[in-house]
Amino acid sequence: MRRDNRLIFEKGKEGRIGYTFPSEEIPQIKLEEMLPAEYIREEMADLPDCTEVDVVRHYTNLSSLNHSVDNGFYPLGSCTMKYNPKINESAAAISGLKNLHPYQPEETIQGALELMYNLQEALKEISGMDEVTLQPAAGAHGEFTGISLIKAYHDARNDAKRKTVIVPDSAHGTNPATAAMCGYKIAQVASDEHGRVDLEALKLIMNDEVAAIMLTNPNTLGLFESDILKIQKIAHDAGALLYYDGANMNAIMGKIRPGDMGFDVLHFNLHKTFSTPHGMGGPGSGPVGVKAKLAPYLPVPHVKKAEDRYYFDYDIPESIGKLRTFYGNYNVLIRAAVYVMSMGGEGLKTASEMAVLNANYLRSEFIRRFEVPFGTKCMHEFVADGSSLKKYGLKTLDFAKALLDYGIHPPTVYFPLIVHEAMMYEPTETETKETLDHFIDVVDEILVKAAEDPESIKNAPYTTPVRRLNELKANKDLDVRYIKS
Amino acid sequence: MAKRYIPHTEEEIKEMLERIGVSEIDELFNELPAEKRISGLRLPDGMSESDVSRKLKEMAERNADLDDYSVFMGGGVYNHLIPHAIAHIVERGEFLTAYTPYQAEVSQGSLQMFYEFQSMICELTGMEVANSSMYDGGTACAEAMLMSCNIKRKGKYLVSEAVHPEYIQVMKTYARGPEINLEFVKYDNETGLVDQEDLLSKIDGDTAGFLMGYPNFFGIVEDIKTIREITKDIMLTVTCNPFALGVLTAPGAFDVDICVGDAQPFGGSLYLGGMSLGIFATKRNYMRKMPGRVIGKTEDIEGNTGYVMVLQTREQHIRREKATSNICSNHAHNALVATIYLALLGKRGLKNAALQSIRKAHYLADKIDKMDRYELAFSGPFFNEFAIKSSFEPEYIQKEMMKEMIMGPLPINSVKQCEGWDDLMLIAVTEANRMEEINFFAHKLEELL
Repeated sequence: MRRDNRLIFEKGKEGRIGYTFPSEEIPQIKLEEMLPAEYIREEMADLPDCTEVDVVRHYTNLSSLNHSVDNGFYPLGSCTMKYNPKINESAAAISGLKNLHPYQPEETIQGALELMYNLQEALKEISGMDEVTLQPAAGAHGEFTGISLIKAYHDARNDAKRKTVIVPDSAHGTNPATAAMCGYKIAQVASDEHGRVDLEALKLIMNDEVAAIMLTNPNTLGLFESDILKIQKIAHDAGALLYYDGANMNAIMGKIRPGDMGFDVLHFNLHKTFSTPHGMGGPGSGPVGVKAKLAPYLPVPHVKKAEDRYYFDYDIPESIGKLRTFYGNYNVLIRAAVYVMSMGGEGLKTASEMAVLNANYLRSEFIRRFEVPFGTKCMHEFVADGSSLKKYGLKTLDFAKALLDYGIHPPTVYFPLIVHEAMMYEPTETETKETLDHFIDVVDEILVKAAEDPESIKNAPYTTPVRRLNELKANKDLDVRYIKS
Repeated sequence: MAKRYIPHTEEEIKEMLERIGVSEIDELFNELPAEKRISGLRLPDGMSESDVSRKLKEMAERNADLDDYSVFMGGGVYNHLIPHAIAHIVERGEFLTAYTPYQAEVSQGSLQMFYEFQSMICELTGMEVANSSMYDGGTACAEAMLMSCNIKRKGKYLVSEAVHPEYIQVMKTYARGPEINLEFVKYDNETGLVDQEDLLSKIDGDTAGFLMGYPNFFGIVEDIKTIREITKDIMLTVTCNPFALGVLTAPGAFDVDICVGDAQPFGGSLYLGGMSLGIFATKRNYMRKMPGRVIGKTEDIEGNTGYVMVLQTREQHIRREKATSNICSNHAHNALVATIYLALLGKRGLKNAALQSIRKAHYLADKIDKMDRYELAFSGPFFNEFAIKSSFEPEYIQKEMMKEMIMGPLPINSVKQCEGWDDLMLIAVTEANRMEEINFFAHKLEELL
């Protein structure tokens, strides 16, 4: 079937409309009486002229071009594409939770504040931190919050010489980008031959000018930094703080807590670990947890409880201020709170155990087929090296694209940067053994094809809505908007 | 072991462990330092769907659901009519449970939608290029400040005090790292517009740019044209309520450099202000300095039209500490909501909604201004929100109105950390307010003793 790939602007017809407003007698005040002539829009924005059915069909058809967790397996490493329970959606649609204005009096949003407070408390317990703020809008925004808190901490101690943040060479790109936005220089620490932070290298660059070290544990290779207590000591002895990137928290819930490992600040990714939908790239939510020594700098407001009353605390004199408007992505917070209620403490622990089991099961199959550098087991994800495909003239990218023809989303590719032909798999706990077994069968089929007919893999995918796209052309043309011809 | 969202049976767990070559789950965790391991979490037991629903219902009942109120409260988040079709489309799992379109071949739905979103934002703002969303209006302003300082390579930035106070607070937070000297430009107490003399006096050789509202926090439609003349040598950013652009001249028509704002009014529910949607648009020349994801059109190997992420070399996952911003996740799904909203309303619908809003607002403002105990605070032109003063305490008015199931006016001092505005209140009127409720509200204000 040939697809109609017109834009919404190219559909409909002048004169059609998809939504009408109540007709009532409104005083017909002329715009000229309300606005200076220069500020009255002459030409209407060129929006589509469609009926509701046009719009519904257009976007329903567009949706069918996407792969999603609801469609099938999505082992995209570091993104924790677990199943997003539907009750989360029903909860967020409850009128009494949804139709609340940020400035309506606190007495009239006690239920919402309780939900937020309870979520803060649960996140404190899960992470072992002393306080949690729900304000950050995403993981990277949480990092920005956390590093801003660290800066405020050092500044308050007049420790102004700390100008550097250390990140491992396997870190997420957001880590160095965040530290730079907060005004820090970046020092990179290499990984050792086991894929973990090289302690000797760390000692060499650790000094009293280091503000913090940012780590994710397990790291992006899916390996637990087993020397974490030593790293912690090296950092703290030098007066630096430890930042925990919570992107990989799905591996450790109920098993170990960043706060107990010595981390001073962390962010959560509610859209990863706590099952809120990724929504094509957001909105996420990136709450930040801190140890007591950083609590004086938390953003305002902070949800608190006094006896039976919940309230927004603005009385944080040394606060870093506000990270965004209002209180956070509350629509996402509702979903995460529901997930915590549904799973309970035992459920969250089981989730981490099964996430690690699934990853190791997949890994144990992969080591029979690919090189899997570093270690003998993994946590919730692992990184395989696609270099062995070179013998067929193929790359990791080709292998990834071939998966698309089987309705399976490829892994994260070419990350972390320290593995050349990296492919990072994170199956998550919500996948069945059958799904994993089927996936392995698909991998075998692709490997057979790769050996017999590498060209066919090089040109994959074939069955997707479009085939490989010309990114060079896209970046050359930079056609980023429709203009009526 | 099997739970609602975890499928493993005991049998399977055994088989899988065997395949891995370990005898129990805990062996997989033996690299965790033993002295720090915990046996579990001190959290309540998991609940059934039915129990979760009951608990949520209890919580919801302790909130005042604004669905039951006449809402005249704005201040950056607005109550508009929301077409039903939106919820049905956006809840589709194919949109809801997909991630960032890293694999373009299976993300054309998201990518084409973002391209349409970018196009709509460009159309509305009159700007040449737009990204595929930011978190909210506040962070979009902060990013506009960073981008302006980056382009001009200068360290001082000006913002109007009549910009939303929370936006300003976010800008202050973002200014700290790069040590931007953020200075404030007064507004005219009479008109509510930017004080042009104060602006002029604060622009110097180190000034990178200036940011103001359109309409501003008081609902006043700023004189962009004159401000542009004053700011010809620096980057001018306007933060707009894009809904107002249904009747207001597009900022792009005045040659502004960056246009940002919050598109929550485009189909977004209130959610305590959490369903925000930052927009970011600029001139084509500045595209490579723009933060966030941008989608571009291209072709596949068979010549079919398709869409991909472009200019990724600006972004953190490639450029790391040299990226234009650390933004990774954005507010994509809220952008879908806005796109469908705009597609349903179309050019005439948006104009109609904006026209209804401004007319109703002016009708109410006129009534209130004539009352003995109230007056409009500013004389400048306004869109659908206006500030009033009264001889009554703002909190008293608010409380009395709530008894009548009216939410509003908004006492400005309930926007925390605002100083000097103690007697001001904001009233927002949209197409969702029926004439009947507008008259009732006016009547109740007048009746107050």
